[in-house]
Amino acid sequence: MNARLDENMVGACQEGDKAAYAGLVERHYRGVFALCLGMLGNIHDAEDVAQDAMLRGFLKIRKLEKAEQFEAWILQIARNLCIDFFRSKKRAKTLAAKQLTESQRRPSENHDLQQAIGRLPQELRLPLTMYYFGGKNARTIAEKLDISHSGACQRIRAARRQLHELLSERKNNE
Amino acid sequence: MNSDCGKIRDQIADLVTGILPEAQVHTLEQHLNECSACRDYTRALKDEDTLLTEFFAKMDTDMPNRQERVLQAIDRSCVPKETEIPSIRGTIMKSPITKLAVAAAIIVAVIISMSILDGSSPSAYALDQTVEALKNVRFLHIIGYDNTGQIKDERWIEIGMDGWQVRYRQQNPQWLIEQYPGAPSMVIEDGESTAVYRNDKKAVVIYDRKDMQYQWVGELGKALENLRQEGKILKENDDYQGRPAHKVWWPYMSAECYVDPKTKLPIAIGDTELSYEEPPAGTFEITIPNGCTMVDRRPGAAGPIPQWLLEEENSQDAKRECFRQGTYALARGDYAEAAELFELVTEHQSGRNWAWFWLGSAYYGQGQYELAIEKFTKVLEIFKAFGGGGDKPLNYCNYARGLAYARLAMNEAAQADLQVCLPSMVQTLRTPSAGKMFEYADNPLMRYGKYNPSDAEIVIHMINRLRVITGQNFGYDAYGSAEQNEQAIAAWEEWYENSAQIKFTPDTELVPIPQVVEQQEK
Repeated sequence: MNARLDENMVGACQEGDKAAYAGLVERHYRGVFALCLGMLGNIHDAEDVAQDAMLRGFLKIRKLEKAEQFEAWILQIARNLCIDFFRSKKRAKTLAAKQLTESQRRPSENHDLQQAIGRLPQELRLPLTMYYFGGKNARTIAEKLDISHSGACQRIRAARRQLHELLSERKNNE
Repeated sequence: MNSDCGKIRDQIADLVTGILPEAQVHTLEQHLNECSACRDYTRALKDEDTLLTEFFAKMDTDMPNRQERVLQAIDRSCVPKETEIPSIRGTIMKSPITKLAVAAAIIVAVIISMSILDGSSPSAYALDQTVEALKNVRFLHIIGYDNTGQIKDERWIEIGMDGWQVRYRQQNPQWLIEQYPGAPSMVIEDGESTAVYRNDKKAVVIYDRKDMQYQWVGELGKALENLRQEGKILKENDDYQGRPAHKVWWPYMSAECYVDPKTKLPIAIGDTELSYEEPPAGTFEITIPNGCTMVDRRPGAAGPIPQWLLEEENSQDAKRECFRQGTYALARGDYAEAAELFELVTEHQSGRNWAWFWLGSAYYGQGQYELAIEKFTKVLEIFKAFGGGGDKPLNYCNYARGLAYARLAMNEAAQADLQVCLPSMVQTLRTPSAGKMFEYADNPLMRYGKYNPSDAEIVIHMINRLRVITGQNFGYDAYGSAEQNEQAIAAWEEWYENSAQIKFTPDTELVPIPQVVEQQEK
C-alpha cells in the first residue's frame, strides 16, 4: 500500500508534475532526516544534508526505474551524501566554527545529550537515532540497516550503555 | 555490585529500551531487588530514556517546518519554470555541466550513421561540440534583453572544477525593480553567503548560501542535455548581429540559439547574450553600500529583523497556506472558497501553474465557464513560455478547457482541445500511468498523498471522461469479466482509429467505481 502510494507520486513526478513531490517529502523526509542525524550526529548538518538529499531526489527522479522503491533509493542518496559530507573539507571548517560558537553557549541538559549523541560512534548512533525516531521498533531498524534483529538489539544496547558513560563522564567533570 | 552486574547491565539497558525478552525480565527483577548499584543504574538509564524520548519528540515537532523548508527550496528550484516575472529567481539547484559530455561520442556516431543513411555529407558542426565546449567553461556572463531591446538583467556565474555553480552575481535594472516591487536590485553569492540587495528598503539581507541560492536557468544541466538530445541545427554559418554563427533550435529554451563557429559556445539564446570572460575583480564580493543596513538572516544570527522583511516572509507563508487550503476546499467541492483562495495565490505568485489550473477548476465547478477557460488558458501559456514543451499538449488542461468550451457550446474550440488530449486518454486504457495527470488535476489531494487511485480506478475514470466527450459506450463494466472489458477497450481503440469524433454528452451514463476497488486500494 505504501509502496503503491509512492509509485503513484513518483509516476506523477516523472511525468512532469513536480508538485507531486510534496507528497514524497511529506512521507519520507522524516526517515531521511533520521538517517542523516544518525550518520552525522549533528542536527544542523543533518538538516542540510537531508534537504540536499530530497532535492537531489527531486532532480534525479526520472532516473528512478522502480518507482515503488523510492524509499530505499532516497535513503541511499542521503547515505551517499553523508559520506561525501564526511569526506569534504567543509566538514573540518564547519566543525571548527561550530565548536567556537557552541563553547559560548550555556550548557543545558538537551545540549549535553545532543553532544553525547554526537560523540557516539556512527555504527551505534545510527541505530539509536532510528530507534527513537522510528517508534522504538528494533525489527524495523534491523530491516532498514539490513542486519539481524539481535544485531540491531545489540547495537541499541551498546549505544545506550556508551551514552550513559558519556553523560556520566560529563556530569563528573562539572 | 557483584561480578554478575556487568552482564546484568546489558539486560538493564535492554529492559529500559524495551527489547529485553520477556523470559529474562523476572530474573533481572530479582537481581534488582538485591543490588542497589544496579537499581541506581536502572534509574539513571530510565531517566536517560525519558530524556532521549523527549529529545527526539521535540525534534519531531519541528519536522513540518523542516519539510516546509525543503518544499520551499524545491519551489525555488522550480521558479524559473513557473514564474512569469523576469526578476531574480531563487533556486537551490546547481549546474552539473561537466556531466553533459558523457554521451558526446554516441551523438557523433549517431550523426554520422544518419548522414550515411540519408546519403548526405557529414555535418561540419555537431551539437556535441557545444556540449563538449561548455564542459570547460569557468565563467558565464549573461545579459538578458526584453522584447524592446532594453537590458532586463545581467549575471555573472563562476563554475567550479566539479561543474557546480560556486559564485553568482545578478543585477536588475531600475525599470524592472519599479515594475516588480520587491524585486532585488542585486544579488551576490560569494560561495558562503547570499546577499540580496533591496534598494527599495535601503537594506542588504544576508542568507546562508544553503538557504538561498540563485541561478540563471533552474535546470541548466537538463537544458543542456535537452540541447544535446533534441536540439536541431537550423543553419550552419549563419550570422548573429554581424558575427558568423551557427543557428540552432533549443527546444528546452523554446528559443533559437547562435553558436560561435570557432569556440562552439552559444553566444545568444533567444534574447539573452552570453560570453565567457573572467569577471572583474570584486564581482562576487559582498559589500554593504553606504546608507544601507545589513540584515543577517543566517542561522544563529542575533540582529534585529525589520518589520517589512518579517511581513514579506509571513506573506509568503500565508500564500502557501492559501494554496494548501484551496486544494482541500476544491477536493470537498467548496468551489467558491477554493476560487477565493486560489485567486489570492495567483494574485501574488503569477507563475504557479497548479494554482491557476485549480482556480479554473473552481470556476468550472461554479458554472463560470468563461472564467474557467481564461484560467486554463493561462496554464497553457505558462507551460508554453516556461515549461520547455513548446506547443506540446498539456492533456489534462486541454481536456479541462475543452469541457468548459463545450459547456458554452463553443463547439469548434471544444473539438480542438479535446482532440488534442484524446490520444493520451485512449492510451490510458492499456497504460493507466498515462492518465495519472488527469487524476491529479481532478483531485488535488493527490499532491499531499491523500488520494491514491488504483490502476483500475484510473481506467474507469478515463472511460467516464471518454464517455462524456464522445457519447460512446462500449460496455465497460467494473463488475464485468476481464474478457468483456478487454473487448470494450478494443472497441474504444477501434473507434479512435476509425472515427475519433467528439460529441459532448454531459448526461451520459457513467461507470460506477466499485466499492471493492475503493476498499482494497484506499
